Amino acid sequence: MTKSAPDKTKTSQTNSRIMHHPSLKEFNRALKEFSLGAGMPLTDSVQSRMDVALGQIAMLFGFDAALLVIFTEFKAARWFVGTWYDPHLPISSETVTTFDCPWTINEIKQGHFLSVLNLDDLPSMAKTDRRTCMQLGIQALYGIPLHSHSKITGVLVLGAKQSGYQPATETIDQAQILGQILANNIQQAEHTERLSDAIEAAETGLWSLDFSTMTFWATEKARFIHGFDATQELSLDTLLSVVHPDDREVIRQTIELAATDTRDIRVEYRVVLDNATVRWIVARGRSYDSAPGNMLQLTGVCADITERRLAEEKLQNAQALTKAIFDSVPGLLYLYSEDGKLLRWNKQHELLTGYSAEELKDFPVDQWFNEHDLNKLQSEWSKVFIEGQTTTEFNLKLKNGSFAPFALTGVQVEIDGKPHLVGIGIETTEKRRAEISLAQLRNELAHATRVTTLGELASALAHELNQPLAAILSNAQASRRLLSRQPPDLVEVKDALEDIIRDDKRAGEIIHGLRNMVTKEQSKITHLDMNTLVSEVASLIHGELILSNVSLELVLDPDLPEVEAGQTEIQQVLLNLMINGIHAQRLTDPSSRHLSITTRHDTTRVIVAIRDHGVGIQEDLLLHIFEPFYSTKTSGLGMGLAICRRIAEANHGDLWAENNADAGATFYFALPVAMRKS
Amino acid sequence: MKNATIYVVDDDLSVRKGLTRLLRSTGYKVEAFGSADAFLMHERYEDVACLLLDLCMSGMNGIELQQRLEHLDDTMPIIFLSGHAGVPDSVQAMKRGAVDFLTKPIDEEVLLPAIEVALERCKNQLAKAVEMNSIKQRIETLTQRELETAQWVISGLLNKQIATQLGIAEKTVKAHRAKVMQKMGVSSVVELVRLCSIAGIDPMSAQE
Repeated sequence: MTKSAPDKTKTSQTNSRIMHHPSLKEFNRALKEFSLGAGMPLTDSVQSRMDVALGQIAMLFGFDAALLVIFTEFKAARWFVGTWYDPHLPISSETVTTFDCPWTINEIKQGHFLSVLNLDDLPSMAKTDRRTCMQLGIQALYGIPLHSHSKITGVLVLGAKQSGYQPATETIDQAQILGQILANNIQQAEHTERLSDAIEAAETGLWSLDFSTMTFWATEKARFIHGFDATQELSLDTLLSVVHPDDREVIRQTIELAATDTRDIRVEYRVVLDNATVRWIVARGRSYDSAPGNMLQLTGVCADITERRLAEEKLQNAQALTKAIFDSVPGLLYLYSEDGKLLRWNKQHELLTGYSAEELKDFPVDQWFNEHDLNKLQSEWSKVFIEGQTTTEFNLKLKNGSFAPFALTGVQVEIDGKPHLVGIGIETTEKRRAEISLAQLRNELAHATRVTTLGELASALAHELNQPLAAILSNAQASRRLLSRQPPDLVEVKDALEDIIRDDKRAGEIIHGLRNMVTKEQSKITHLDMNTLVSEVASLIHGELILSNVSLELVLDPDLPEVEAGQTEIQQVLLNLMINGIHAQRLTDPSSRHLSITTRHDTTRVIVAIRDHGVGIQEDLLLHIFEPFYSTKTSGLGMGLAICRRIAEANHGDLWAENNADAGATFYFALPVAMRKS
Repeated sequence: MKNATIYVVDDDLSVRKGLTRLLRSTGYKVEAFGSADAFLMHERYEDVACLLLDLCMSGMNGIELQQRLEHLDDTMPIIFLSGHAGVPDSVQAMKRGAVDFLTKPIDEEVLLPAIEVALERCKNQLAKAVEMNSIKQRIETLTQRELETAQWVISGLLNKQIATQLGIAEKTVKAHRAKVMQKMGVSSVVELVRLCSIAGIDPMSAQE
C-alpha cells in the first residue's frame, strides 16, 4: 500500500516541492515511545500525551501543525481528535475540530493520500478547510489515511506554513506507521475503557501488569477490592504485601509463568484487609507479547469472590458433616428413589455388602433379595409409600453371593417434591448375636459378683438389719406394757410409736438398698450425687466395719457436682472398694485400722478416693489387680476389681490404685461430671 | 426384783432407746450407755444389777468389756446381745461366765426371764460377798494357834490327836477350840467347816 501510495495521492498542481527527511534514529525513538503508550485508558493526561506525540510526528517530518482524527463511536463523541500546532503559528483562540476541515477529512477517509501544495489548489467545495488553514497560517497540507484490518479508522493531516512543503516519498510510510500506532493506542485505550466500564458494572476490577517496570495499573474497583486507594503506586510488592502469606507464592509463580509466554492465567487468593478481614479474590488475565518471547504486559480482571468462597466452605462443611453422620452409622443407611434405585448410602453399606461406590450407584433394590422374598419386598415397599414407614427383616444378598440377615427400616421422605425411601439396616448375624449375649453375660457376671459381695457381707448386713428390728420389738412391747398401766402412759407410748416408725423406715431403707444391689436389671442412667451414694454404701458396711474393728472417716466435698451413671453399678463399685479396704487391714494392728473415703471434683470429673491402712499392693501387681480372676483373697470370685473397672469404663470413668506413702493403698474411682440437666 | 438397776451398753441409739423404754415400763431402773468406755467411766453403786451388753460395737466391743470387768473383779452378771449369732463369740462369752447370749431382735419373754436370772445371780453374789466379808472379819480375829487348831478341827481330828500334832497339851487344845467356836460364832463343827470352806480355809492334812 505504501508503494502505491504516491499513485493514489491526489496531488494538486504545484511548482516547487520542499522535501524533508527525518533521521532513522529519530524515527526509531518515536516508534518506541509510541509503542509504550499502548493500552492506556483515555484520560486527560493521555489526551495531552497524544497531542504531544502528534507534535512529535509533525516535527519529525518538518510540519507546523497536525490533526489526528480517529473514527470512533465511543461515548457521545463520534470522533477522537488530537491537534498540535507549532508554537510560532499565529493561532486563533479557537481549536481546530473536524468541523473545521470537513472536505480534507472526507477525502482521506476514502483511503486516498492527500497532497495540497498550495491553498489555492483546494477545490471550491473545501471552502471551510481553506478558511481554517488561512486562520492558522497553513499553506500546504498532506493527508495520510490510517488503517486497521483494511478498514479506514482515522486520518492524519499534517500542515505546513510554507507552501509547496511535502514529506519525502520514502518517508510517507514512516509517517503512516507512527500515525497508525497512535491511532491504535487510542483505540486500544478506548477499548480498555469501554471494557473497564462494563467490568465496573459487573463488580469486577481491571488491571494490567507492565513487565518492563513490574508496576500495576488498576481500575478504581480493582484497587478497592484489594484495599488500595485511588492514587497509590502499585508494584508487585505492594500487591503481595496485602495478600495472605499462604497465597503469595502462587501469585509469584503465576506471574513468572505469564512472563515467559502468552497464556491465560487464573488465580484465587486472599487479601487481608485491616489485619483482620479476609477477602477472597479471583484474578484472570492474559499476557501479551510484542514479539515472541518479548512479553509486554499481563492484563486481566479481578473480582471479590469472598461470599462465594464462604458459601462454598459452608456447603463443604455441611456436606462433610452429613457425610460423617452418614458414615458413622453402624449399619446400612440408604436412600432409594420410588422406582427402587439406590441414590445415597453410607461407607458402612459398602463394607457390609462388599460392593464399591461405583457399583452401588443406582443399584436396583430388588437385587438385594432372594427371588422368593420379592413378593414380601413388594408389599413392604408399598407399605412405605402408602403408610409412610415399615420395619422388617430380610436376608440380603451380598456381593460374594452369600446372604446375611438384616433388620431393616424404611421411611418415606419427600425430596424435590418426589417420594423417596430412607432407612437403616442392622445386621443380625451370629456375630452380632454373640456380641449381644456377651453383653448379657457381662451383666450376669456383674450381678453374680454383686451377690457374692453381698454374701460376704451377710452377717454384717444381718446385724445392720437386726438393729432397727430389735428396737421396734422393744418399743412395741414397751408400749403394750405402758398401755396396760392404770392410767396408761400415753405420752411415752406416743414417743415409742414414733421411734417404731423411724426404725421401721430405717430397716426398709436397708432392704431397699439390698434389693437394688441384688437386682439383675441394669440400672437406668440417671443423675447421681456421689456423696449420697458413698454415705448409703458406708451404712451398708457399718456392721462389717465393727466386726473388723475398722474406723471409718468420710470427707465429702460439699460442692460435688452430679455424675451420670447407673446407680446399682456405682454402688457396687463403692461397696467392693470399701470391703476391699476393710479386708486389706486384717493384718493391721487394730488400733491403726482406718478407712478414709474422700470425695472431690475438678472441672471434668468427680473422684472418690478410698484409702486404707492395710498391707498395700505389691508394685508388680498394681497393674494386674484389675484383671479378671486375679485375687489375693481366698473367698470371692476374683472378679470384683475387674468388674469395677469395667463398670467405671462403661460409665466413661476410670478406676486405678496407688500405694500410700505411709501404709496401705488408695483406690481412685473417677466419673465424668454430668451434663447440666435440661 | 424391782429395785434392781439394768445397765444397757449398745452403740445403736434406737436399740438403746427401745430397751430402755421396755425395761423401764417393767419397773427396772435403767442406765444406758453408747459405748463401753462411757459405761466404765460411770460410777456404780453396789446394788442388785445386771448388764445388757451389745457384742458388736465400734471402739471397745462386748467381749473386751467383759474381760475388762473380770480384771476389775467386777462380777456383775452380763447378758450379751448380738445382731447375729456368731457361735465362737457366744461360746467365749458363756465360758467367761455370761448369764445368757441373746440374738436381736429380743422378745421380752426371753429377755425378762434372763434378766431375772441375772439379777438373782447378782443378789446371790452380793449375799455371798456379804457373808464372806463377815467370815473373813471373824477369821481375822483368830490367833495363829487358834487358826491352826481350827484347820485341824475341820479336818476331823480329835482333841487328843490335835494336841499330838501341835505338840501341846490336850487341855490347851480344848481352850483354843472353845475360843475358835466362840469367835467364829458357831456352835457345831459342821457350821465351822462351812464357814471355813466359804472363806477358803483349807483343813490341815495329818502326816502319819
